[in-house]
Amino acid sequence: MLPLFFIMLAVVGLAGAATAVYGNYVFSKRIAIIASGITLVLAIYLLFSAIYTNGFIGTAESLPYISQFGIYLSFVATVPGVVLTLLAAIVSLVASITVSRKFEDSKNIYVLILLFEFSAIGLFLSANLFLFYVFWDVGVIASYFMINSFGSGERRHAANTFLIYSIFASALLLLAIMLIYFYTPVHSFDISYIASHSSSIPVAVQGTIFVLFFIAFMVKMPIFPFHSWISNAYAEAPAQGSMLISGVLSKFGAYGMLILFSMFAFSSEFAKYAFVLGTISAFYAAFVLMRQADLKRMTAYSSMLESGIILVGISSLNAFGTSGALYLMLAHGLVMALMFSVIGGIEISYGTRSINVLKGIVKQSAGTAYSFVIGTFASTGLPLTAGFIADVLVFIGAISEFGLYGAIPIFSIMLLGFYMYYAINKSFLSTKVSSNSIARMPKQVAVSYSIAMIALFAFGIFPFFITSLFGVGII
Amino acid sequence: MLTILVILPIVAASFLALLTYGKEKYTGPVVLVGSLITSAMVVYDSLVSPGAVQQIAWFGISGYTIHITTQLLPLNIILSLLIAIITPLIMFYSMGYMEVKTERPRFYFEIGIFAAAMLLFAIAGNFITMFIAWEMLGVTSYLLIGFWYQKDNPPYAARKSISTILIGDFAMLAAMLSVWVSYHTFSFSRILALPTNPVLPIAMFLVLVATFTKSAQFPFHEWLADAMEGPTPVSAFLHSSTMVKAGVFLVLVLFPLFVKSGLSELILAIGIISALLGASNAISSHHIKKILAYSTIEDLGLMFVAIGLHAIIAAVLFFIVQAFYKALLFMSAGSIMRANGEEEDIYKTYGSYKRKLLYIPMLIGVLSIAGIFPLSGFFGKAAIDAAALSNTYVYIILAVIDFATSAYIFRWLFIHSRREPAHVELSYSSIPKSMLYSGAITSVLVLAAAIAFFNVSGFLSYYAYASKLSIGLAEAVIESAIVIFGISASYYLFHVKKPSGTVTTKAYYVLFNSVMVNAAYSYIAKAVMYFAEGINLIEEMLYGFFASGAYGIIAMSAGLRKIVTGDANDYLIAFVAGIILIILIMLV
Repeated sequence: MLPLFFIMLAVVGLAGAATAVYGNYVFSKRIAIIASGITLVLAIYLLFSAIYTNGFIGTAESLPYISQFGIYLSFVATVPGVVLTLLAAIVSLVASITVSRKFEDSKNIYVLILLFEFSAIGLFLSANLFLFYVFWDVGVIASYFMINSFGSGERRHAANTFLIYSIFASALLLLAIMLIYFYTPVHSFDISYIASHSSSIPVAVQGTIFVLFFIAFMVKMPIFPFHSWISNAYAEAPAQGSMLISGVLSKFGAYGMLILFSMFAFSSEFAKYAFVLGTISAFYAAFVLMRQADLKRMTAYSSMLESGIILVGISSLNAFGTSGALYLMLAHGLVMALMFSVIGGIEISYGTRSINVLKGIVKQSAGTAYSFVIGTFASTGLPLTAGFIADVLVFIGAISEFGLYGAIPIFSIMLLGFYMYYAINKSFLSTKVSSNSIARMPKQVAVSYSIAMIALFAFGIFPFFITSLFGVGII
Repeated sequence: MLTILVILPIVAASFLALLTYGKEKYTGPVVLVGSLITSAMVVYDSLVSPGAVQQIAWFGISGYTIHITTQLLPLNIILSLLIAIITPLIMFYSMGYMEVKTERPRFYFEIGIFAAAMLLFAIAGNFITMFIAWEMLGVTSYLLIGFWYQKDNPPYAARKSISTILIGDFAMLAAMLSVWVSYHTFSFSRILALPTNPVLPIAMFLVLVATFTKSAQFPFHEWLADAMEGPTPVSAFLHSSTMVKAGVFLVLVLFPLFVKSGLSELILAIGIISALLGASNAISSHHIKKILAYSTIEDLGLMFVAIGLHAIIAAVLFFIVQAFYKALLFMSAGSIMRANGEEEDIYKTYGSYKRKLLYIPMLIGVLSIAGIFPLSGFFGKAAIDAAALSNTYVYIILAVIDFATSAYIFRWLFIHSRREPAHVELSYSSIPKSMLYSGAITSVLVLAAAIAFFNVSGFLSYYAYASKLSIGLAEAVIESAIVIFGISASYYLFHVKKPSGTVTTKAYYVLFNSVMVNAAYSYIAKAVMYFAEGINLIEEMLYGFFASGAYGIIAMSAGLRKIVTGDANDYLIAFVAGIILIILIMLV
C-alpha cells in the first residue's frame, strides 16, 4: 500500500518549497490551488477508505528518526485525525482560492498557506507527541508570519500578542510532553502507548500533566480567560489567515483536548470543571460579541463561542459528546472558511468591515449578502447544515452527563443568533440606504465561499458518512 | 409510496424558480404546477395510506439510529390537506400580486421552500423531522417578512420575528434533546406510549415556550403584527393559516404529554391572555392587515383555550375553519390595498359594495369570522364556547371575546367600504384577476368548511383523549345573540357615526396596548445590551491584565539587563561570590 500520509505531506511540502524558491504571484497561487486540490482528493480518499475498509483506522506509517530516544516519524489514521485532515484540506483550498485586499503581488502568502497546511496535516495524523509538538509550532510560525506580513491595521501588535500567547502555550505543552516522557515506564512519546499506560503515572503527576496540557489547549482553542489574542489576531490577519487560524489552528487545541480527555483517567474528575469553563466561555463570547461592530471581530468571538461548545462536548466524556465535538470542529471550520471569505470579499469591495458603515450589501452583491446569511444560519446550527448534527450530538452528550444543566450552553448560540441577525438587518438585507462599492467583488471569493457552503450542506444532509466512522471509536 | 416524497415536487419547482431569472413569466406557473402535483400526492397518500408511520434511517451513532420519520395519523392528514388546498391558491394569488418581475424568482423560491417545510412539519413523526421543518419555517418566514428590503420597516420586522422565534427554536432544541436522553427515541408515537419521566415537565414547558413563540402567544405575540410588513400572500399563507398554527398543531399532537406534565392550566391562561390582547388591539388598530394579524393572535389564543380545556375536537375544528376564512380575509385585504395604491390605513382606504367579485367573498369571510350561523366560523366558536360551559369565568371571557370579534371585524369592513376610491375604474381595475378569483375560490371553501363540524369527531376517534363534540341549542342561541349584538354595536359606532379615526382617549391606549408591549421588548433588549457592555468592560480589563503582565516582563528584562555590564571585573566578583555561596550551601 502507498504511504499515503507521507505523500500528502510531501505534496504540500514540496509545493510550498517550490513556491518559496521559484515563482511569481500567479504561479504560486496556481501551485497552491493544485497542491491543496490534490491534498483534498487524497483526504477524501482517506475518509472513504476509513469508511469502507474495516481496520483502516489505526493504519500506521513510520520512519526511524532518533530511534535511541524512541522518536520516530510515525503517522497513524485516527478517526478525528482523518476528519480534521479533510477539514484542513478543504479550508486550505478555500484559502488558496480566495484573495485578500493587500499584498496581492506577494507570492509568500501561498508559501505560508502551504506551510500551514503541511503543519495541520502533520499534526492531525501524527502518532506521537514529539511530532505533535513540532507540527504545532510550525503552524504557529506560519500563522505568525501571515498576520505579521499580510495583515491589516495594527498587524504587528496583533502578531506579537498572538505569538506571546502561543509561546506560552507551547512552553506548557513541551513541559507536559517532557513530564509524560519521563514518567511513562518505557519513555515513549507514542500517543496510543501513553493512553494505555497512563495509569502507571503517579496520580499527582497525572494531575499536573493534565492541567498543563489543558491550559496549553485552552489558549489555542481559545477558552476564557486565555482568549485575549483572538480579537486582534482574527481581525488583523488577512482573510486567508483568519480562515486558517480560526478554522484549523484553533482545532489544534480542540484536537489536543480530545486526545487529552481520552488519554488520562483524571479527565473524569476534571470533566465538570471543563464543562463549566466551556459554558462560561460560550456565554462570555456571546456577550462580548454583542458590542462588536467589526464583522471580523464578531466572527472571531463567534468562533470562541463554538470553541466553548466544543469543550462542553468533549467534557461530557461519552460517545455522543466527543463525536459531536469532533463534528462541531468540522462544521465550525467550514463556517469560518465561509464567513471569512465573505468578509474578505466585502472588505475588498467596500473598503470597510464595520457594520456601522456598511449598508445594503444585497443591492450590489446579492450572492455575498446571502452567503453571509447562510453563514449565520450555519453558525446558529440550522438543520441541513453541518452545525445542526454537531449541536444535536454535543448536547445529547452533555445532557446525558450533566443532566438538564447540559442544555444551558444551547442558549449561548441563541444570543449569537440575536446579534448576527441584527448585523444582517443593519448591513446586509436592508437597502433603504446602501453603501457604494469601491471595487468589484473578485470572482475568486465567490468560488471560495461556494466550496465552503457546498461542504457545509453536504455534511449537514449526509452526516452518515462521518458518523459511520464514529462506530469505530473516536480515538 | 414513501410519504416524505410529497415534498419533492414543490422543492424541485422552487429550485426551478431560481433558474427563471430573465424568463419571469414562467416562474409563477412552474411553482403552481409543482404545488398542484404536491397537493395531488398529499390527497393520494391520505386516501391510500392513512395511519402509515414510515422511518428512514438518517445516521447512526453509538448503537442508536436517528430516523427521519413521517406519520399520517388523522391530525397529520388534516394539516397536510389544509396545506395542500391552500398552497396552490396562494401561488395562484401571487401570480397576480407579484408585479415586480425581477423579484418573482426569489419570492417563489422562498415561499415554495416554506410550503415544503410546512408540509414536512405536517407529516413529521418524530422530533428531529419536526425540528428540521420547524427551523425551516422560521428562516423562510424571516426571509419572506423582510422580502421588501428596500423599504424601511420590513427588515426590522423580519429581525423582530426571527429574534422571537430563535428563543423558541433553542427552547425546542433543549427540550427535544432532553426528551431523547430520557427516552432514547425521538419518535412521537413511542414517547407517547412510554410512561412519564421526571424530565418531562421541564421539557414540555420548553416545548410550550417554543410553541408560544411560533404561534404568537403572550408574551411573544407582537412579532406577528410586525410580520404584516411582508407581502400579502405571505401574510395570508404563513402568518394566518399555516405557519403560526405549527405551535398549536404540535401541542395537539403531543397533548397527553402536556396533560401528564400538568401544563393545561398554563395553556389555558396564556390562551385567554393572548385572545384578550389580540381582540383589544384588533378593535383599536388602524392598519388593514394588522387588524387581521391581531385577530389571528386571538384565534390562536382561542385554540389554546380549547386545548387547555381538554376540548381537542373543538380546537381542531376551529383550527380547520380559521385557516380558510383568515386566508380569504387577507386575500381581500391585499386586493383592497392594491385598489388603493398599497395604502394600509383603513381610514384612508376606500371600497364599494358594488364590486361584487371582491365584496361577496369578503362578506362571506367577515360573517364567518364573526360567527353567523351556518357559516363555518360559527361552529368553531360555538364548539369552544360549549367546552367552556363547565368554567363560568372562562365562558364569560369567551363571550366578551366573541362580542369583540364581531365588532372589530365589521369595523374593519365598514370603515374601508364607506365609499368608492377617487378614481373608481382605474383603482378597481388595477386588481389582477388572479387575486379576485383565488379569493372567490377560497370563499367557496369557507362555506364548505362547515362540513368539518359533522365529520371531525368521527375522524378524530383515533385519539383516545378526544371527547365528543356537542353544541347545545341554548349555547347556539346565546352565541348568535352575542354576535348580533356585536355587529349592531359596530354598525352604530363605525357606520352610522362615521368615525374619523383620530380618537386618542385613554381607553384607546388601554385597548391598543401593543405600544406598551413593544416598549417592554426594547427595555429587555436594552438590559441585555447593558449587560453585554459590562462583560465587554471585563474583556478590556482582562486584555489589560495580560498586557500588563507582558509589559511587566519587559520591565523586568530592562532591570536585569543592567547586570550585564560587559566588565570582566564585575563578572569575576559575581563568579567568586557564586562559588562562596555554593560552598556555604553545601556546608549547611
